[in-house]
Amino acid sequence: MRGYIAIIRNSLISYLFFRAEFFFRTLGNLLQIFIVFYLWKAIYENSTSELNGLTFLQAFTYLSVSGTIFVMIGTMIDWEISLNIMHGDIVMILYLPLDLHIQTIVRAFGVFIFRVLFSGLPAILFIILVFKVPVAFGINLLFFLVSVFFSFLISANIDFAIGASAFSFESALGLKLIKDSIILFFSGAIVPIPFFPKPVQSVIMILPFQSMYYTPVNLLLNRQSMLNSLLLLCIQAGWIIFFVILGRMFYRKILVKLTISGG
Amino acid sequence: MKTLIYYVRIYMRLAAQDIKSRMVYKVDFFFGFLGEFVINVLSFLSIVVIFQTIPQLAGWDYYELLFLYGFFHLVRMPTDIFFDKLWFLQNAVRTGDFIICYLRPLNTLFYFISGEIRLKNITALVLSVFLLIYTGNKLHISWTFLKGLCFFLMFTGSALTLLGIRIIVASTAFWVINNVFLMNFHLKLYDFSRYPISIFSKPFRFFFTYVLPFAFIAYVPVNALLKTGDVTLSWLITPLVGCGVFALACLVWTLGVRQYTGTGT
Repeated sequence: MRGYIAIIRNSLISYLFFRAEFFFRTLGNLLQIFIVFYLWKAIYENSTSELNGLTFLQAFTYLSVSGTIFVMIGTMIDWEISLNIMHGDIVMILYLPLDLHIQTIVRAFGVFIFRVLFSGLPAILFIILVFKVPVAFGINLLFFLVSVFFSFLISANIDFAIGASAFSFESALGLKLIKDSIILFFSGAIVPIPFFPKPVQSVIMILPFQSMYYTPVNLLLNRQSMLNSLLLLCIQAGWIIFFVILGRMFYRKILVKLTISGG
Repeated sequence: MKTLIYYVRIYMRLAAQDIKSRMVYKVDFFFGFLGEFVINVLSFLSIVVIFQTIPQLAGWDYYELLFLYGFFHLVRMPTDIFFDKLWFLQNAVRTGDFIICYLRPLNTLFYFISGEIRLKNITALVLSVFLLIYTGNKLHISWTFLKGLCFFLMFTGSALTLLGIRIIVASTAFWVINNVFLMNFHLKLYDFSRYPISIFSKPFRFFFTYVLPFAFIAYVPVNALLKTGDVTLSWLITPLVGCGVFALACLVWTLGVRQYTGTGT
């Protein structure tokens, strides 16, 4: 356990080192929020109140908060693992008396904390205050944070599974790009789910991606019954378990097939 | 005086080497193509989905917006296919690899970028050409020779603007070394050229027209073609801006190269 805490600390500190990077990333996110705002304002320009059951403010909040969640929960796990495998550095990580899977997720967790505190929450406050978004204050804020954490675990485990599959695919870089755009599109983070045609909507509901974005936003904005909130969180937890198992399967394969040139 | 043919021949040699080395990772090569395809189709689909609900966006109808979208992607092609190495400039500067460009009797910018050619972007090239032809047909643009020529000039101007901005941003590596964050940041600004700039509020419009000329990457030329109808003198603004930005980029690059000292190894 102490080993894992040390890893979290390290990744936090090394992240703090890149302040300029952080500043521009935050600025970029704010610009993105403005782009979403103006684009959707133009989309709602000619409609009196609602499109597909969403008002402008709902659609905007939904998309901008989703975008912020994307920034918070995104990890570089797949990229790191595939790079480590290509360069052979993975041996150094496997030498540590810690589980590779947990170790990787824990390292990403350090970055996640940093992003939530200094990038995500300020951005969400910005959205709420500047664009006057109505938020239900109460226990749902706690549910929201838990849900974002769950989304992070889903995202991290998907990334781990993809990174681990780099063994069969030499490098996971191409796969990462595909994954990112598929997740963003099918989670409704670019276009809200109600805008999709009905058949596509039902496919989206089966996929895990909407639960990474739609669930936290929903918990933030709408006051739900306790039971309903817990149910939504349980669905997320189910997806976490699913991707953990998938990741472990690939990880087994790594240990069997791993050959490092030269060492 | 080195002729153009001389440069082209050298470029072919270097590019061939790069393609060969990429083909070694066959599966990855394939996934690069597939990834480009999926990414482009999905971002195209998001426009399609939005237009299921609304008939037009800020006075731009479906085909006009798709034309703008296709034009934007065509404009980024020269930069993304031939100048992708600019992304690795900060790496080359930090490790000292960049010093090799001083040891060749060639233009430093030319030698640096010619080691890399991004074939996977051909997917996006094909898609955007297809989209332009398809939407161009639907829009019934009445082409004349003059119009075609001027439109081509505007395209060149847009491509030069985008390339110039990319070179300037990448060149900051000569001074600040690690500029990945700046590169990533300026990518986000492209979103201001992918949509009709009229949807943004005044300060943004002013900034992205007069300060950072992102409006000239797609909006200004496409707006001229689709909305003004006849060729006017204002069509020449985009090529002029393109030449200006590119000249500035060459200047910044030269200054950077001049003050770079290597790493001493």
